[in-house]
Amino acid sequence: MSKTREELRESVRIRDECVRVNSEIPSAIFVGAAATLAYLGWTYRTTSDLDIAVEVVGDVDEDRLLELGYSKDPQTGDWYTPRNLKIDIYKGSLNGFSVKEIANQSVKVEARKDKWIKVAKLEMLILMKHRAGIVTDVQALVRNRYSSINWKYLETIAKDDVEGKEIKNVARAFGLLKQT
Amino acid sequence: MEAIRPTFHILTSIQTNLPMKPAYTLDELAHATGRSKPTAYRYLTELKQNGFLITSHRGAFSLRDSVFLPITIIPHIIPSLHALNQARKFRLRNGKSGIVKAMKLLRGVGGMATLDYAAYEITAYQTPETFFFYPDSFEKAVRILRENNYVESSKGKVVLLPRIGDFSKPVLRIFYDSLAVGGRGILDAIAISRKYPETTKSSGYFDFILNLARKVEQDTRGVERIGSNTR
Repeated sequence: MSKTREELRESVRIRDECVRVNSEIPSAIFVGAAATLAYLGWTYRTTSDLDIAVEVVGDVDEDRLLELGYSKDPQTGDWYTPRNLKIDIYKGSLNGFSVKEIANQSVKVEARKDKWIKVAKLEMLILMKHRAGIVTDVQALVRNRYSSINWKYLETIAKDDVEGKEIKNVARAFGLLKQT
Repeated sequence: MEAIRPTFHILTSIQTNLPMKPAYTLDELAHATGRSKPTAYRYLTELKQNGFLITSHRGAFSLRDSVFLPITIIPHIIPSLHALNQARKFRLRNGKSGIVKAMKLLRGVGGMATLDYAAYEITAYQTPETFFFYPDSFEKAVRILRENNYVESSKGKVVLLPRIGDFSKPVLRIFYDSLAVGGRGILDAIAISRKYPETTKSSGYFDFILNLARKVEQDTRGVERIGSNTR
C-alpha cells in the first residue's frame, strides 16, 4: 500500500499533462483516455498515455515537436511528451470521424482552475470508443453521463440505425432509458 | 463444478454467435443460442448467478467481457466471479470515496487487496479507481467500516469481497480476479502475466496466446529495426 498517495495523484498527473500539452500544441483535441477522464471526473481507470487529434498539421510538424522537447522512439515511431508520457497524434481521421469534424464539435473543459483543454464531444467520444471496441468505457460514459447525452445528435452522427440503437441499449440495460 | 456446466453451453453459443458489445437484448441472446425467449431469459439468470452479468433492465443487459475468454479459463475465474457477485460497496457518509482511510482501517482487519490497487502495485500500468479487498473476516470488516462513517452505496469505491476459492498464490489470484472482472481488468491481467509469466502459466491457452503475442511483438520490432537500418 506504500504507493497509495502516489496512485491517487496519478490522474492528477495526467490532468496536468493535458494542460501542458494544450499550451504546447494549441490545436490539440484530446480524444482518448484524457477525454474519458475529463467526462468522468478524472478518477476513472486509464493508462497514462494521451491521444490527441490535431487539425493544424503545422502544430505537430516533426521539427516543431522536437523543438518543444518531444521525443520519438526510433524503434517504434511512438512519440513522447517532454515529461515522458506516450502521446498518439491523429491527423487524418479517427474511428470514422475526420479530425476536422472532431475539431469543429470539440468542447472546452476546465482541467485545472482557469486552465481549459479541448476534448471530443461526448457523443462522438462514445461512438469512437464503441467503434474501437472499448466496451467498458462506453458503459461508463453512458452510465455516468446519461443526462448529458444528446441522443438526437448521436443518432445523426452514428453510421446507421443499428449503431445508435446499440448505444441506447447500454442506457436501457442500466435502467436509464425507459423506451427505445 | 456441477452448477456451472450448463453455462459452458451458453458461453460457447455467446462466443460463437454474439459480437463483443457494451449491451445486448434478450432477442439477440435468444437468436445467438438458438432458443426461445423464455429459455434465453433462463440463460440470462444463469449468467447472472455465475457473475457474468453487469446489469439488466427490461430486456437489455450488459455482460462482463470475461464471458469471451477461452472456455478452458472459465473454471479458474468462477470463484472470482462468485466473489464479485457478492461484493459489498462502501463510501464515506459525507459522499467521499474514503479509499485511503479504508486502506488503513482494513489493514488492521487483515486480508488481501485485489484488482485495481493490487494490480497497480504489481504493474504500475493503469491508474486505480476502486479499492477491492478480501478481508480475513468479512463481518468484522463491515463492522469497522460502519463504525467509521462508511455507508453502503452502489457507487462506493471501497469494495469488500468474500474469500471464495484459492488464495495460496496472491499474484495468481489477482491475475484471475483481473480476468474475471473483465474490461480494463483484462489489461491488468496481461500486464501481470508479462511480469510473472511463470506464475500465470496455469491459464493454459490464454498463456499460450500471450506468449505468441510477445513473440510477434519482439519479432516485429526486430523487423522494424532492420527496415529502418536499410533505408
